[in-house]
Amino acid sequence: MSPAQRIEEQAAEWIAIRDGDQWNERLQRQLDAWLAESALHRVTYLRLDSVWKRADRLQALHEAPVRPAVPRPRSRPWRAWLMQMQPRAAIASVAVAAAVITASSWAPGDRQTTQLGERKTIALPDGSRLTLNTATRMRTSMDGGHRRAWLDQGEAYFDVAHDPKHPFEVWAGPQRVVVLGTRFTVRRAGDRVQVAVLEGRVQVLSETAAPLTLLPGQTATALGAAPTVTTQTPRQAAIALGWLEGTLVFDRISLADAAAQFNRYNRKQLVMGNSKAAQLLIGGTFGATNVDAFARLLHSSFGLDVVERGDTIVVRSPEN
Amino acid sequence: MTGKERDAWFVDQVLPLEPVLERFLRRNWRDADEIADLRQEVYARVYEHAVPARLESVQAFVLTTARHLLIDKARRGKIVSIEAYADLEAIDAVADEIGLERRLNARSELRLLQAALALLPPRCRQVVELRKIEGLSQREVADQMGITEDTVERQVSKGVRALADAMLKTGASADSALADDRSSSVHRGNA
Repeated sequence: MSPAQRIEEQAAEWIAIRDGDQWNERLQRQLDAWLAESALHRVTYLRLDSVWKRADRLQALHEAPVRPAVPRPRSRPWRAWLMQMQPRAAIASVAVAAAVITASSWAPGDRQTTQLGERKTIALPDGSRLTLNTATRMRTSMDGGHRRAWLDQGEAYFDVAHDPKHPFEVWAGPQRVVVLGTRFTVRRAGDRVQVAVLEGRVQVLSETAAPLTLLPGQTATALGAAPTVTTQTPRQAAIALGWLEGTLVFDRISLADAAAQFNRYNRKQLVMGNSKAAQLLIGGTFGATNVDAFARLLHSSFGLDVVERGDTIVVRSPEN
Repeated sequence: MTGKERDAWFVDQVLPLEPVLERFLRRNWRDADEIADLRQEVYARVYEHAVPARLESVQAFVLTTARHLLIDKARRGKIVSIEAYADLEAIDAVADEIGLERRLNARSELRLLQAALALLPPRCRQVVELRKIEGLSQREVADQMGITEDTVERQVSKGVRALADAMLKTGASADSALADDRSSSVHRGNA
């Protein structure tokens, strides 16, 4: 057996022990010590551990039916109407009873939140996975044959498991997104909602506008009224998803726009000191929560004046 | 970057490149038995030496690290082979997009897992299924199967290694799963 094979055997043993019922602090310390011994131990362990975690998704194969919920007390008035969805190749024709919950303090679903600069991935029982971006508040509910999520604030990436019998719905203010199984992101800031499709098809239903079908590469942006649709290249789509890895990817955008993106993730806020700095075009990949490193780079690579004052970092282009 | 962040970066950014790395190693190293060890050594070096914030392309970094490792090994083994030096496959630094878009959708991931599961020896497979699908604890698995907890632990250890090899190395089958997926229209590489 080669040294690497022996290490893999040890790593697998650690995973198996941790998977058991006898795990305790002492064992954790021993594992930490073994991991610290060499990078080879650590990468071998990470490789196996990531696979064992991915295997959690197999619970989607569990035979038990989606458990019907205990009927919720209907203490608030409901406004309901029937929405007829047109037959399409990728989306089955299903008459869906849609209910709009008028402004109420009763909010259904299990809560999920992230802090400023935090990122979190949740696995849902149906096999879907959601990743929450910075400062996001969401609720999810898989009861009574429905699959629902409510995006109250922030941004999330949805990787929805295909299930023609149970369409997945995302409610974001006045917009509602209905899918069967696909990948997309939704971002909400108050009444401004943006839906970007990466794979599959998505229907965007608004209270006032006609239903809208989005294809991969398309993004719908709505501010209260009817959404407008733009199309992006696969490269632009990949760039926009940098946050899933905790990075911001810039491809020739203004420093002002780049700063606005950073400011979503950091307590220290970048402020443009003059228009010359604001209009500077930059590119590159950066850690989203490392605004200090970015500011240092602006100084060292672009020669900008960077002054920190309390919770702001003011960036100016020197006049000469 | 903290240890935890480095771990997450490694899992998110480097591990998905395993099929690419495997292909590279197989094409440029004669001894097939040594490939797994070489791969792990590349991972260790990448983990230790990468500066993630400064990397334009993780793929290029991984393959460059692999290339240097092979050259080192060739030198030390005194292998007189022009291949080892000159003809090492050109590092194709095409797009991080491949890394980002290689993310499998929920359906393909489940299919990949099921395919990997099907390759396990029967007892090992049953243990993994009881743990992961039915959610039984190791003690409950032992009771249900009439075996000791030690045996369950051994089967988990075997199972995780087999699953890793099936899932991480065969990015090829994951790609074709994506290509078959009718609803997928994400472009790869040269869009």
